[in-house]
Amino acid sequence: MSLLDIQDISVQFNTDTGVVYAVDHVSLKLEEGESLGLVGETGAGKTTTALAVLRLIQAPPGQYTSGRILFRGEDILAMSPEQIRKIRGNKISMIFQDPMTALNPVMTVGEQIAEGIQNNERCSPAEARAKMLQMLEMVRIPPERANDFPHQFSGGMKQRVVIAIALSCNPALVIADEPTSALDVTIQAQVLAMINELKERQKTSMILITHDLGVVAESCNKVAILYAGEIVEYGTVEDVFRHAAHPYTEGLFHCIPRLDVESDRLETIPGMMPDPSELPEGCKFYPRCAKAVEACRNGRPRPVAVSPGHTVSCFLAKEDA
Amino acid sequence: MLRYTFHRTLQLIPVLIGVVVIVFTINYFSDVSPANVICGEFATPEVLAAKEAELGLDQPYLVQIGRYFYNLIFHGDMGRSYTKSVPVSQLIGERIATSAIIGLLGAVVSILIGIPLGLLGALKQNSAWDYLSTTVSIICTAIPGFWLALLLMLVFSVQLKITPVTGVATWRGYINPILCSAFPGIALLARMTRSSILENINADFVKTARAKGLPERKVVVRHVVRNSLIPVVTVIGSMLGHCITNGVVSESIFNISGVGSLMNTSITGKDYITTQGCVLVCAFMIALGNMLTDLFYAVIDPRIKAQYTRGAGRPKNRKPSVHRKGEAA
Repeated sequence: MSLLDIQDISVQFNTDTGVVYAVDHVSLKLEEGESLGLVGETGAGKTTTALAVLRLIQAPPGQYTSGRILFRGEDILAMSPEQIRKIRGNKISMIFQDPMTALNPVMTVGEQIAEGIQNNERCSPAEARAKMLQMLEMVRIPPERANDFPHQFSGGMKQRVVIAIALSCNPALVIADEPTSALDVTIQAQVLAMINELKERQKTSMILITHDLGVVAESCNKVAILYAGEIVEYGTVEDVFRHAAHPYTEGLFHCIPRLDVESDRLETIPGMMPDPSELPEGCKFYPRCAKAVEACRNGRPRPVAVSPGHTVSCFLAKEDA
Repeated sequence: MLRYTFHRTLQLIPVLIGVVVIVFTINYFSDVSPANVICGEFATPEVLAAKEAELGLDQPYLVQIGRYFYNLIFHGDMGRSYTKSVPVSQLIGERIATSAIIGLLGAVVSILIGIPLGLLGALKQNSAWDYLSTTVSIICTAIPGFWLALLLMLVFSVQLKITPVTGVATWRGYINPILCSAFPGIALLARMTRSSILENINADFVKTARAKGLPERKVVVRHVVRNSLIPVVTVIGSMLGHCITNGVVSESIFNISGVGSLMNTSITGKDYITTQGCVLVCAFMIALGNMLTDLFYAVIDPRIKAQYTRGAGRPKNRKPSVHRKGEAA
C-alpha cells in the first residue's frame, strides 16, 4: 500500500467570473520515505494540489469534482471532519509558503508550536512545552526565545518556526509549499538543508513544491511537472532530468541559464500559461509548443509510459513497448 | 507597561484643559449674560451690573478663566448654577450614578448581543444566520433613539405593563432606558465583529492552525477572534466614552434626572456654567474611554505593546551575545 495515492483528483473554483479548473485529473503516488518534487509555473495548481491532500481548500468557492486521495488506503475526501483533523499535523503536515503571514502575530512562537503537539499527542501542557523547546533547538533557534512573538524574528527564523510546527508531531508526510521562495537567497540553501536533514532524521516522506529544478534534483526521488492543473510529465528525477520527453519539460530545462554558453538574454518559453478559466481545446500546451502537430489542437493527450514509471502526456511521446 | 499607563494618563491633562478653554470661551463670547438669566428680562441695568459684579463677570476674560481653573483644580468647584443656585458639582454628583448605570449597562447589553450576533454572521457567512444578523443590525441602527424610546414605552409600559412609563423609582424603570441606549451599539458591534472576523478567517496563520489539526472551535477562539479584537475594542472604548452623552435624549424622554437631562435643561435655560460642568464630565469620560482602549490594544497585540515599551518585550535574563558591538571593533 502506498503512503499517498492521489487518483484522478480534480479541483475547481466556482467564482463570479467563471469556473476555474485549478487541478485537472491529477494522479500521483508516493511511497513511504520517498520525496516528490512538484514543479510548475505560478498558477499551475501546485499549491491547490497540496491543500487538497489536507482537505484545506475552502469550500465554497472550491469544489472537489473527481477522484480520491488515499492516505495509507483511506480516502481523505470521504473522511469525517473529525477523522481528517486527526491526520492534519499528526500524519500529514504542511510547511507554508510565506513565513511572514503563516504565524499568528499575537501568540508567542512557543505557544504556536506547543499547541499542535498538545493537540495531536494528547499530552500535558508541560510535556508539550518540553517537546516544543526540543523542536526549537532542532531548528537551531535558542530555546529561550520561545516566549518571543513572530515580529521579533527574522524571515528565515520564522520559516524555521513554521518547519518546527510542521515536524513537531513526527508526521509521515510533510508537504513543503515553496518553503524558500519568500526568503533571501542566502537563507534559502540553509532552510532547504535543514528540511532535508530533519526529513532524513525523522524518516518522513515529502512533497516539495517549487519552481526550482535545481532544488528538486538535490532533494527528491521523483518529480511531477505540472502545467495548467495537469501533470504533463512524471517520473524519477533520473528519468525526467536525463530523458525529458514532454516539450514543456524540455522548455523548462532550456530556461536554466548555462555557464558554458555565451548568451545575452535568458531563454524563455514563448507565450503565457493559459488562464485556467479559459483553457484551450486540445492539449493545454499546444499554443506555446514548438513541436505542435494537428492532433494537439483537437484532443487531450493521455499519459503514456515512455519507460516503466516515467509517464508523459504528449502525442509525440512513444509508448515503451 | 506601567510606565506607558502612567504616560497615557498624563496625556489626559492637556485634553481636559483644552476642553475647558474651548467651552469657557464659547460661553464667554455668547451674547446672553448670565446676569440676564438670573435676574429675569425686566431687570434694570443697575441691577444687572450689580449682579455681574457679584458673579465676577465684569472681570477680563483671562481673570475669569484663570479663576475657573483655580477653583476647579484646587477646590473641585465648577461654579454655582445660575438658575438653581446650587454648586454645579453637587448637581452633577447627584445625577452621575444614574447616568452611569444606564450608560454602562447599555454598553454591556450591546456587547452581550452585538458580538455574538457578529460572530454568528461571520462564521455562518451567506447563510440564513448571516442574513438574520445583518437584518437585526440594520434595524438597530436605523431606528432613531427618540422613536425607539416611545416604542419601548408603548410595548413594555403600556401594553405589557412590565416597566413604568417614566422615572427610575424601581429597578424596572431602568429597563427601557438601558435598552434604548444599547440599540445603536448592538448594530455597530455586530457589523464590526462580523467584518473583522471575516478579514481574518482566511488568513494564512489560520490555515496553519487548521493544518495543525486543531478543532475548529480552538482555531476560531485562539487564532481568529484574538486577531479580530482590535476594531471591536475601539468601538467598545468609544461606547464607554459616550455612555453619558448618549443619555441626553433618552433621559429627557424617560424623565430621568441624569447628567444628560441636566445638560439638556441647562442649555435651554441658558445656565451656561452648568452646561460647562456637564461637558467637562462628558469629555473626561470620552478621554478615559480612549485611554482604556489604547491600553487594551497593548494587552491584545504584542506588536503595539512593543512600540510603546521599547526593548521590554524580551526577557531580561538573556545571556549576553558573543559578539558585542564594542568587542567587534
